[in-house]
Amino acid sequence: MNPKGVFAIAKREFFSNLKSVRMLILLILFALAVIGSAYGLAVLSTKPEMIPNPDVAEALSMGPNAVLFISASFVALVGSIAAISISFDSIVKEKLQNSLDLLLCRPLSKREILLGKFLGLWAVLSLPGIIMLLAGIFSVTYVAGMPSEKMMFGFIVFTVIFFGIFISIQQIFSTISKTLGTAILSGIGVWFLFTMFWALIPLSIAYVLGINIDPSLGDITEYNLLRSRVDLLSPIGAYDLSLGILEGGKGVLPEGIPYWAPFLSLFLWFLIPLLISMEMFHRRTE
Amino acid sequence: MCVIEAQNLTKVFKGFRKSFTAVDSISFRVEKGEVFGFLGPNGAGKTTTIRMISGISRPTSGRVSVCGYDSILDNVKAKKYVGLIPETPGFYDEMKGLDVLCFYAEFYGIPEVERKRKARELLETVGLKDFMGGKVKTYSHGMKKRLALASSLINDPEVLILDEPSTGLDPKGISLFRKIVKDLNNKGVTVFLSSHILSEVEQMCKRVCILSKGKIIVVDSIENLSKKIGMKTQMNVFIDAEGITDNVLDIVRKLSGVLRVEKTGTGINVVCSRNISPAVNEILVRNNVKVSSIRVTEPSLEEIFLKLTGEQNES
Repeated sequence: MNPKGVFAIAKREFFSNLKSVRMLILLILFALAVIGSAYGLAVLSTKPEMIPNPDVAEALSMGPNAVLFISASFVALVGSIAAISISFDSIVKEKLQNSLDLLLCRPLSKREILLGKFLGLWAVLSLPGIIMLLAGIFSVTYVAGMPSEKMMFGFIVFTVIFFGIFISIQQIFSTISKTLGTAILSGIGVWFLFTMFWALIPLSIAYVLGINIDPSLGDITEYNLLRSRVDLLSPIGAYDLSLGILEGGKGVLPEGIPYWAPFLSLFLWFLIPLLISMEMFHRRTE
Repeated sequence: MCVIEAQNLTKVFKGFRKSFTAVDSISFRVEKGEVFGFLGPNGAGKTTTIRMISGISRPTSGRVSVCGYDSILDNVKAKKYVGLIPETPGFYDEMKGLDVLCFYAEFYGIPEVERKRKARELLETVGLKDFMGGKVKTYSHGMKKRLALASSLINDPEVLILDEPSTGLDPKGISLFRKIVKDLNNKGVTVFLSSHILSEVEQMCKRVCILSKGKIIVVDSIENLSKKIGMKTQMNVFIDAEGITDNVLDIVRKLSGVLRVEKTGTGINVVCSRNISPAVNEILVRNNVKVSSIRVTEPSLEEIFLKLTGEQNES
């Protein structure tokens, strides 16, 4: 292990991205999504009569924890884009600009190089991210009251883990891609899969298995269980369910899913793509 | 003492449908303090071999060690002793020249103050002193090559591996490059030089390895190769002289070893299988021919290279 080498790579990734124009754009988007959604939802929670959808009005009226939980959906949407945008070229650019060999010939392993890059990217997204999240919590506290400590802690820690998941996934694509276009396109594909198409999976399975999905037609407990199980297989689902437990307690999960499952899923989503990206980088640079 | 040792080194790239053997069971040794030339036509497997020696790529089979450390088992230790200049080095555009060297120095645990001092010193050595504060994106290809040389020396390597070092350099740059490499070699640094410029290899190396289609054709000193190949190759004796008659030409033609005699504007060119210049000179002088110069051209490394790689292709 060469910790100095890992730190050197992480530091370079951190500062080169921190000073970049794309970081500035991402920070603006992130500020709008995190602070804007938290503040807006907090204001709405104090005036439920302004919300046309009674379900949303009911959810928001449950207090600042619920506000933070709902604003986490916006965080997940923009946070995943931010993670993809910051890391899509981390490896492929090295290949294209011929700087990879000069890095690979240094006295540290390929896995350490990838780890250094991951840590740098994670830090550059997490540090301003944490500031934005704190600002979001402050907005909610200012308008709708203080969320629970557990919820605030989870909101920050799970979001930071969430950034790491998408950075690792994107690093896999950056390693296997030969062009910047392929790398970014793969990232966008993953983003679409987890944000847009994932919801269709439990619906499709329910349709095939003949499980009821309409509450007006009867009990949908079986569908809820199926949906939660499928959500555990998605990083966004694992993030939402984990925060959901902190917001509403163990009862938010359908029977059949242990309360620790979302946390385990989130942890595994963090660990497995990171390990895969390290292994992929090791093999692909042969 | 052996600094680089390759034993049955093989690299196979596996594709979906078929595999490609880039390096096929090659073995060679490079001794300490040597300047070792590594030659071969395009696609011979030179860069793949260099990547394996530098610890970047794993051999499919066989092994290579640097300063006694196995490139797979002791990969990180082996890399500490190597300085590499790739054929087309690239850097981080947004970084300054000085920062690039300081960045690479961090991998070797060099303290910050020492890092900056050393980086400045190296940039001065490679002629980039005035550009150390400039961003790499403003550097020309030649300047990047010089920066690569500086970056390869940041760890005071025992072995310097150069992959086509003169590509993209102007004559002044080439001259400086060679001077620096020679100075380093005089200080005991072993140099592994892969080059297409055969005159460069001829000037700098004593021993060469010629590679073709992933296989070693020959590993020997240039002197020995000249002798071996020279026996089979033609040699030219150019004679500038006045008053060469047809009668004299006939006498020269009858000499043993002469293949043919051609008239040139200033004299004759004797094509022969061995150096017969003293005998030709004697005949000319005896026949009152005024000889102004005799020039013998032996097979160059280029001829040796073309002959050996040509033979390999034919076989």
